[in-house]
Amino acid sequence: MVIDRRALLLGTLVSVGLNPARVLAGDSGAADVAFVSAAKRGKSAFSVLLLAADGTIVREIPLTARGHDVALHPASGNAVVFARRPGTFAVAFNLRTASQPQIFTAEEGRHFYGHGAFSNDGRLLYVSENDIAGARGVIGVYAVGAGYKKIGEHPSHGLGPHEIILMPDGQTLAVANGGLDTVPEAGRENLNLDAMEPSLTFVDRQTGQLRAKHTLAADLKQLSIRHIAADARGLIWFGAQWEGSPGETPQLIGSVGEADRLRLISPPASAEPDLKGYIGSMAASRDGQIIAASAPKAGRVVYIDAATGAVKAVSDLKDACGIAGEHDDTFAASSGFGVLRHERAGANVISEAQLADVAFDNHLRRWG
Amino acid sequence: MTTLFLKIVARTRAVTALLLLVSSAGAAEPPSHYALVQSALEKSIIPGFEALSKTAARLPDAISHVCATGDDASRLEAANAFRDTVVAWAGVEYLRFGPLADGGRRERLSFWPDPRGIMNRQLRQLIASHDLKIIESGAIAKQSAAVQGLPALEVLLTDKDNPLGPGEASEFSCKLATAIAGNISGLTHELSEAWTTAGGWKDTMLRPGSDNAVYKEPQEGASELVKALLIGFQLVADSEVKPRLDPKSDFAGPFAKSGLSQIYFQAGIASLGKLYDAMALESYLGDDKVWVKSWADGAWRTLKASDGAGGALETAAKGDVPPLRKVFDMLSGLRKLAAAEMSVAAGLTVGFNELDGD
Repeated sequence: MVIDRRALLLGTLVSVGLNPARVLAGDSGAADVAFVSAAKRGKSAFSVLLLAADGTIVREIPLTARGHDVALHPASGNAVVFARRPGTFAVAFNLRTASQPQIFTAEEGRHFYGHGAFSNDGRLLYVSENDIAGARGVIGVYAVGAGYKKIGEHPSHGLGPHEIILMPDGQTLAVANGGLDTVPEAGRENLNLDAMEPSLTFVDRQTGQLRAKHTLAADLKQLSIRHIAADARGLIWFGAQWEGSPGETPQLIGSVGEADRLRLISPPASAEPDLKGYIGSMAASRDGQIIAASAPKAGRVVYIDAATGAVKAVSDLKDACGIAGEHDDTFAASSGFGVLRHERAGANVISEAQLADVAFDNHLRRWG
Repeated sequence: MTTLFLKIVARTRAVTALLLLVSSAGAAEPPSHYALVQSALEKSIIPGFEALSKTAARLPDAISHVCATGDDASRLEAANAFRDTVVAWAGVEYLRFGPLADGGRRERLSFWPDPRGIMNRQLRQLIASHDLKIIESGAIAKQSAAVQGLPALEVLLTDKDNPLGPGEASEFSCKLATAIAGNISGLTHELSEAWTTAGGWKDTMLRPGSDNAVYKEPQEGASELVKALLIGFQLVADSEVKPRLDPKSDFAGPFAKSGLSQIYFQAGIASLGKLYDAMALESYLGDDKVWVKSWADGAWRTLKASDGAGGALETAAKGDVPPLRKVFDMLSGLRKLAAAEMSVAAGLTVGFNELDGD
């Protein structure tokens, strides 16, 4: 593990160092940046892409290994891309200044899960991590101004924390605890499929105290809660991945609040989309009225009315996974086949760009 | 100089044309997606699960004989039955869809990798408990997956401090081993039946359509198999080979207690090779992709010469001992070629996120 971490770190440094023209292209092009996403480039290279709304690559930061999600802090322009589970590196960069990217790694005995969130003032970064020896989820706390130095950690109050978001109150972290146990030496093998403990927790970002914890019924213990988005009322919408028997098809999308019980959506059979047991990411429209859930295995994006929980529409996009709210009822979706599409939640396509040699990874983030 | 260059170009073109002619003449017609699925099922997958069921069926009697007599012949019989079951398991464990994904059968048959040592801890607790309820018929199937399968049986079979055999000291271990062997046999029988019974997963894959809940088109079943192949390459590379590349690692490999790690690796490679051949993915490649076939041939030669632990098989060419790093690279390379070249040519491109998202 030590060797992996060191190799990865060195590799990333080398990779960044060998591409100064692409990384430090003088003008950052920040004014043009509309989206940020990790991606695979060509057959086996990885990077984080800063894209204009039409899909033009404004800036590219090479990575040695695959990234997952990107945490953004709009006021400062700071951004951090995380290695995906069970990786140990993160690369911080600034969207405005195009300064040299800064690499930091998980401390010994921890690995990242691919997600994080900034505090509203941008001084702290919260990262979902695994206490490998203790098999417990933790939230790493990093001081941005101190070069992303880890200054502490809170329990995630669950197993396998995945996506973390800061609630509108600026004080509470919502944490999707996927319930899965992984360790770097076993790669991406899930080690506890028969003993999963998914949950959604609300954690005080300053004290680490548990404010609320929601779990699933016993027959849904293998429904891994992975990705979340907040709607206009501050309700958390989650997308899950079914690790149970393929013959069973539980609902994968639901909502929960700190004081509201967990509910799965219940669309009528005629409107129930086949999502192949897998939601890749979640996003809310800018006004928080519509929730989008991507289902890459099914090649679909599901749009839900946040007020009623009803499925509004379903659109088809092969390997769709990244999803981000734009304006009104417009969303951007990205795919593993290099497509960046703008569409309305009514599922009608506005425009679509096809990027060559790009496979967009799991998450797409709107900038600005 | 120009004349010489033209002669070389002309000769090169002639050789290329000849190669293409030979290649085209000998090339197999690419199968339809339906035929690809049918071939993979009949030549690789169904025989693999049937072999597993057949070998595992020997385990309960073999354990009973050891426990009744404790003689060398019965120990050899049990060791052979266990080895053959492990070999058969290596041939199917990467097929993580359909019946193997149902009811946690994969974890119940083999709780591995187990870096936290959960199986050992729970098994020791069971033995210490001497709880007769857990050895009642069917009771072990309700215990944690960690103690239900082959790794738990391996511990009991290789326990030198308290070897299985007649006598009071090993009475409970014998009953537990018999229960686990029966569970393994039952699970593998279930698996084979789930594939082959009328309306089973074989039919699900061979009868795509609007009324099929899983596969609407033949292409979907074929894509499932491409995914299984890619996952198979990744599992062997990441779970069996990569940990050995770290000189500080004390990684012992699967079924190391019974000395079966190498044979497990070989059986996995052999099975992946059989599935690869049955799917005939190379036949979809155009004449401009001769290099892909050539590279893949070399990769398979390397993999089939290796024991997965830094040594070579007896059948490998003399002096051909592929370094582990090369074995890892060949597995990764085959995965990339299958994903980026062969499956694309076959019209079975698997999405980046669909295959391995998070």
